[in-house]
Amino acid sequence: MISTRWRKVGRDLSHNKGRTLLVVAAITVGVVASGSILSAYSVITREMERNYAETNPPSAVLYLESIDDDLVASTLARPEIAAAEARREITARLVMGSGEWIKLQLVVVDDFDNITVSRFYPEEGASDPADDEILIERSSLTEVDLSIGDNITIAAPGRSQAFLVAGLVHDPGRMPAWMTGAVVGYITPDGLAALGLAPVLDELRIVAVGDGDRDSNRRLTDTLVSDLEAEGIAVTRVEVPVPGEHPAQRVMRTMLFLLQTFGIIALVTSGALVATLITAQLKQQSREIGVMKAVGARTGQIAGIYLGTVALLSAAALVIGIPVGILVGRGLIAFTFGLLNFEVGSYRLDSWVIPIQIVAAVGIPLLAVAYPVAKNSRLPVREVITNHGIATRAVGAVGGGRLGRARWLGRTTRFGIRNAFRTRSRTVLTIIAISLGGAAFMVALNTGVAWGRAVDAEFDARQYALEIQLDRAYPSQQLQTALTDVPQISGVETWDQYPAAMQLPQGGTGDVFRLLIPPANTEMIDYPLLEGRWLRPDDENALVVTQVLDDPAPDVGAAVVMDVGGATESWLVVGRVRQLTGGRTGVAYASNRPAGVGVDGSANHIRIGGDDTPSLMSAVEQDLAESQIGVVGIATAAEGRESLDDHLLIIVGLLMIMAILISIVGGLGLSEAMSISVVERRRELGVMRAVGASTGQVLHVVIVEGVLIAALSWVAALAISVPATVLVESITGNMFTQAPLVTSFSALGIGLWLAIVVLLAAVASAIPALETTEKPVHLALAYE
Amino acid sequence: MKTQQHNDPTAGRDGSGGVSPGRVVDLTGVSKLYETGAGDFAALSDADLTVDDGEFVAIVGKSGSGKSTLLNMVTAIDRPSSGVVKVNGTILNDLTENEVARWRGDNVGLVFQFQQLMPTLTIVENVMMPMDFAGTLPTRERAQRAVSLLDLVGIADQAKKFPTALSGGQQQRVAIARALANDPPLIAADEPTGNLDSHTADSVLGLLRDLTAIGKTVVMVTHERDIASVADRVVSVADGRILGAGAVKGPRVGSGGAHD
Repeated sequence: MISTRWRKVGRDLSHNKGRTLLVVAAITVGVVASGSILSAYSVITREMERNYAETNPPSAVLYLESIDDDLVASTLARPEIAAAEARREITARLVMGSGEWIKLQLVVVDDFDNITVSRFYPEEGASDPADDEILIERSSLTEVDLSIGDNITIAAPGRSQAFLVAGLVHDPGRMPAWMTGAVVGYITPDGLAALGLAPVLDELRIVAVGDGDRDSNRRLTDTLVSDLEAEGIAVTRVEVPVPGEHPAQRVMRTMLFLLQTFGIIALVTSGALVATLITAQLKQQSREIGVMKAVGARTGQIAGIYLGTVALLSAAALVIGIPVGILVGRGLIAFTFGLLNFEVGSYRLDSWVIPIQIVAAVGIPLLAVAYPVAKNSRLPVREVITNHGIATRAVGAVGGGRLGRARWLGRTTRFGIRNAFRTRSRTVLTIIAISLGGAAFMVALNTGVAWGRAVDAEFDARQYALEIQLDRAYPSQQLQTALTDVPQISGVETWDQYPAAMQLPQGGTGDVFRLLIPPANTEMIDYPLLEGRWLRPDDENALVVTQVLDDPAPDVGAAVVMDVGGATESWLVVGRVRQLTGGRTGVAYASNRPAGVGVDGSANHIRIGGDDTPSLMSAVEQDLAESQIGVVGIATAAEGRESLDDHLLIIVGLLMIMAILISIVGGLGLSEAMSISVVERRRELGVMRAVGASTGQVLHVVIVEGVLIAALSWVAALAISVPATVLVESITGNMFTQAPLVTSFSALGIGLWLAIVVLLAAVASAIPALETTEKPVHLALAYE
Repeated sequence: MKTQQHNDPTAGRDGSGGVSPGRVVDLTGVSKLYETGAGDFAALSDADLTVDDGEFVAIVGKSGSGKSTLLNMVTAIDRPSSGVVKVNGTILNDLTENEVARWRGDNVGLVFQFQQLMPTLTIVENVMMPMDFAGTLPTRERAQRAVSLLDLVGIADQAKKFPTALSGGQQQRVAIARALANDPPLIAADEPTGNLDSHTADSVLGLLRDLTAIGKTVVMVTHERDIASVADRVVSVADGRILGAGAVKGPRVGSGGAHD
C-alpha cells in the first residue's frame, strides 16, 4: 500500500501537470544530450579504431627509388614484419568537361586482388581495374559528380589520358574527400605508364608484428633502412605514423570534446531549471510543509518527499530520455561516420554508458535541488504556517538596491524592480539556468566568428595565385623567362621545396614534412606569427615552423638537427606561424638551402602572383610546357578554402545545435519561472486591482520584473561567455590546428540573446498577469 | 513502526478508555521575545500555565495579545526565549526540531483555524498522514483507523472526497479526526471556529468538548464569546501576560453531531 506522502507526491505532480512536464522535459533534455553524446562517444571511438585497424594501416612507409617484388618478399621474410606492400601515390588533376579541374590523388596498386596493407574495399562495379580504368573512392562523390561508366580525363605531370570509371571503393583509412578537397582514384602501374610516368612503385608500406608503439616502430624502421642501405638501396624518406591514429582523429577529438562540453552544460542547465521549478513548488507548498511538520513530519521526511519527487521525475525522464538519447546518438554516429567515411559495424553501447546516464540524470537534479529542499524542510513550523500569501518582509529589506529606490523610474517600475529580488534564491537559480543557456549560445556564435576569422586570415596571408611543384630543379632565370609572356601574372618567385625530417632526442627522425625555402623578403606569404619572428635576409640556417609541426615540436629559440636530402645540419628555430593548411605533418620555412642540397641559382618550386583564374593556370601550364619545364603539381591559393569552410561548418553547426538545445531549456526555464512568479502572487495582483490598478499598470509591474531578471541573466551569460569563449576557442583551436584561435566575439550572438530573453520574459510574465486581471478581484484575493 | 493499539478511536492512551490522572501541560515562567525592526517585542512574558489531564482549557484574548504564542509554546511550534515548557512529561526546551516533530506526532493533535488539509489528498488520506509520518500501526490498518476517526467526527461517508468538496465545518471535522490520528493525549486548537458560522462553530466546539470524554486534554485558542459554556477553564491573555483563569461551571454544549 502506498503511503499518504507518496500519494501526495503523485497527486501534486498530476495537479501541476505543466510544471511536472517541464521538469521532466528539462531532465529529459539533459538525459538525451548526455545519452546521445555518451553513446556516440562509446560507439565512435570503438568503431573508428575498428574501421581503421581493419585496413591494416602501415606501421611505417619507406620511400625508395623503386620497389620490385623481390624487395617486398625479402622484407616480408623478416620476422618482425607482419605485412609489406608496395604502392605509389601521385598528385594529378581530374579535368572536368568545362575545362575546370579538381585535385586528384592517384593511388597506384600492383595487385588489386591481394591487398594486405592499407586495405580498401570494393563498393560497386569492378574491383580490379584494367590499365585504362580507374576506381574512385566513394567519398570523392561529394566533390565531383561521377558515375561508373563515365570517361574522365586525368592530367598528370607526364601527360593527359582518358580513363574509364570502372568501380567505386571504400577506403576508410583515408581522410574523406570533403576534408582534403581531393578526389582519390586507384589505377594500375600500367595505367601510370599511360600517363607518361614510369610504372614503378616507390612506397614500401610495412606493418610490424605485434602492437608496437611509435618509438618501437621507429627503431624497427631504422634497422630496416640501415639494412636496405647496406644493400645499396637508397631510402629517400621515412614516415612513421602514430599507431592506430586515423588521419581524421584530430577532427573527431575536437567534435567529441565539443559534444562533451555541451552535454555537461545541458545537464547543468537542466539541473538549474529543475532547482528553479522545485524551489517554486517548495515556496508554493510552504504552508503544507508547515502543516505536515505540525502533525509530526520530520525534516528528513519532508526532504524525502521533495527529493523523492525529483527522483521520480528523473526516473520518468530516464524512461523517455534513454531510448531517445540512444536514437539521437545513433543519428549522431551515422552523421559523423558519414562525414568520416566510416562504416558502423555495431551500434552496441559500452556497458558504462547507461549507468553513467542514470547517475547523471538522477544525481545532477538531486544535487541541484538539495540546498533548496534542505532549506525549506528545515523551516520552523511557525514561519511556514503563518505565511498569508502576501510577503510580510519589511520594505527596507526588499531588493533592487538603488535601482529599486530610484525615483526617476516611477513608482510602478520601482515596484517591478523590487519584486524581482523578493525571492532571491529563486531569482539567482533562474538567472543561472538562463545564463548558462545564453552563454552556450554566445560561445557557439563567438567560436563560429573566431573560426571564420582564422580561415580568412589564412587566405589573406596568401599573396600568390598558383603554387607549382616542378619535377626537378631548373635555373631560376629560365623559370622567370618562361613566364614573362603571361600577362595575368603580377609576380613570380622561385622557391625550393624538399621533404625534411627533424632528428628526435630519443634517436631516429620525426615526421617527414615539407621544407620550403622562399626567397629573402618573399611577398607571397604573410602568415600570422604566433611566436618569434619571420625570416630575415641575413639569416643563416634559420627556420620558421608552422604550429602543426609536432614531431618534434621545436620551441622558438631551440636548435634542431634536420635531415634534408641526405644532408644533416643544425638549424635555429626563430619563429612559429599559424598556417591552417599545409598537410598533416606541417611545413617549415628555411632561410637558405641546406648545404649540399640543390644547385645555387636554381629552384624546384614556383609561386605566382595574379588573379586566381583558370586562364592564368592554363597560360602558365602552356608556357612551362613550351619551355620543357616539367610540372609535378599545381595548387591554387584558394584551394582548400572550401574544405576548411566545410570543417568550419561542421564545428559551428554542431555548436549551434547544442546551443539551441540548451537555449530551449533555458528559455523554458525563464518562461516557467516568470509564470510561476506571477501566479504565486495572484493575490497580491488582486490587491493591486482592488486598490485601482489598471491592467496596464499590473502588466507594467510584472513585465518590468521579468525583463529585469532576463536582462540580469543576459549580463551573467555575457560574463560567463567571456572565459568560456576563450576556453572553447583555445581548446578547439589547439585540437584542430594546434594553436588557439584569436579570441573573437559575435555582436550578433550577444545582441540576439538579449532580444530573445527579453521577449520571452515579457511574454511569459504578461500572459498569467493578463489572466489574473481578467478574473473578478474577489477570486484573485481568495487565491491560495 | 510502532504497533500501539489504535483501532478503537475512543480508546485512551492506555487503551482502557479511562482518564489517567496527572498534569499534561506545565509552563513555568515562559517568555517569548521577537526581534523586529523596531527592537525586541515581548509576545509572551513570564507565563505560568498548567493544564490537567482531561481538561478543556480555552485561551482567550484580543488579536496580538499573545494567546497564539502561548499555544505555540505548548505545541512546540515555537520555542520560548526563557522559562520551561513541559508537556506530557517531556521538557520541550532542548529538543531538536526533529525530536520535536517526532514528539508532536505522538503527543499533540493540532487543529488550525484554516483547516490546512492537503488539497491533493482525499479526506481519509489526510487523516492517515500523521500515522504515516509517525509510523503508527501497520500500513494497511491506517486506513481502517482513519475511517473510524472520520466516523467519530461524523463524516465517514465523505472519506473518499477531496477537501475542496467539503464545507468549512466538515473540513474542520476532518482536521479534528486528523488531530486524533496518532491518539495523542493533547489536542491543541488555534481558533478552530474562527472561520465558521455560529451554528457550525457550536457543532465543532461540541465535538472538541466530547474529546475530553474519551480522555483527551484540549487546549484551544478562541475568540468565541460564549466559550465559558464549553470549556472547563478560560485563561485570559493580554499584552503577552496571563491575566487569570477560572473554572467553568454550569451546563456544557453537548456533542456536535455529524452535520454542520
